[in-house]
Amino acid sequence: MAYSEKVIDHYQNPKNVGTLDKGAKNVGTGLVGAPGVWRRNAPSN
Amino acid sequence: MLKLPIYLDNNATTPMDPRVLEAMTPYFLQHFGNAASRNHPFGWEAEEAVDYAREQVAKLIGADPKEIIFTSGATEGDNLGIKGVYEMYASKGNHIITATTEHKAVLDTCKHIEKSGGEVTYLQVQPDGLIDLKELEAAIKPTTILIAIMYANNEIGVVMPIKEISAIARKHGVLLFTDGTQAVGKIPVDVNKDGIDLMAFTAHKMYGPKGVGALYVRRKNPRVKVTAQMDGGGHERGMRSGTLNVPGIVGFGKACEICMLDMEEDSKRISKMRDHLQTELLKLEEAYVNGSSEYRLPHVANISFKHVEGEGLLMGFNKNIALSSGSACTSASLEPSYVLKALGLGDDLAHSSLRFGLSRFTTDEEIEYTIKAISETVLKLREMSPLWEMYKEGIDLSTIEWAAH
Repeated sequence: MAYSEKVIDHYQNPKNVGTLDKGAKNVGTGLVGAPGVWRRNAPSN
Repeated sequence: MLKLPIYLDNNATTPMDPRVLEAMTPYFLQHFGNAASRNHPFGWEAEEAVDYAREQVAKLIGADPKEIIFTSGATEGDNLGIKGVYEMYASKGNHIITATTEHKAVLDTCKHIEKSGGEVTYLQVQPDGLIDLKELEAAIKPTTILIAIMYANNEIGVVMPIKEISAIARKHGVLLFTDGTQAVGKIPVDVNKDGIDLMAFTAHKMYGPKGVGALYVRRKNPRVKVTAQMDGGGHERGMRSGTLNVPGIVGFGKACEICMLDMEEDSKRISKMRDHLQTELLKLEEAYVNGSSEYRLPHVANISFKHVEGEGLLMGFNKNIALSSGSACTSASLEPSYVLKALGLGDDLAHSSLRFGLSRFTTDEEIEYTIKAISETVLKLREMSPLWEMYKEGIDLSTIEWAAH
């Protein structure tokens, strides 16, 4: 079973990946998902 | 010159040796006879070829040619060996002892036997993948007729203490069946020195063709019999009906002969490459070898890279390197390997494992390429892995409770 082009593209060119500064005032931290989406959300406004 | 893709999934199947193909070719077009045709030269030629192959196969495992029953492969051998003994020795008892890390062909056969009224004990393995001999002996009861323990494991390559297991079986008058699929042709296996009563193995794991294998059934001390699982013409001394796969059997014989001659040298060379691969990959942080490194096949290494996921890891290079995460039989599902879980590995390590299976055709260049590609992929994935980040921040991941949502 081969992977679709879309999956391979996301794998090779990861999107929306990175780490926000957890010390910043407008960055919140939470654990989501099973297992392992470690998310820091910064409100856009 | 390095040729891509590289094949390192030799526990799933091996490429055929060209010498094997050469031996088989005449038996497709010129000598196509049925080995059971007794009254013309076509049949005689085929029978002669089968007899010769039977000798080659028997010689590799130190058996008598009459003790070799040709089958379609190891799955059939596992079924015939275990179900055949269960039915044949029903008057003696109905209890079988096996282990949780056996191949599905053994485990599911045992489950089938349980459904039909048999009793099966599944021994747990120790963290190194080996069974505890004391536990084995303690599990034997008056109704025990068979111990079914594999020679070497397909996922982690650990080699069971077959001689010691056999000594226990003999002491209690219990038969010993072993699935020799991964071991035969790779390490010395001798049914008499090892005290094996029945053994299933197959050609395609030792550079032979797919679709042909054998079940060794001891004829002396003790004389073992199995009940046939297929009805028909009574081939193979009544134990396995069905026209013999003559070209396949000829190839199987040739593959055994080559293994017999080359095993020692091959395994020296291959284990050197395997050790190098393992040493280099263990230089990565949080990389672990699964199963015993001491009692292990020379061509296998199963390594976990913590905090990255096996399938994701494979995606990084599976266009160029053929490898398995878990075993080929179970990797279609996202369940972690039951063998790794049986070693006591948590889901995180079980999910992040790769199985390397080298062959006599593996080259140093391929190993160098593999080391580089895997190291790079592990580092790249960890760089964006939230689990890795938490680990680096000193958070103990095992203390986190993951709730379903």
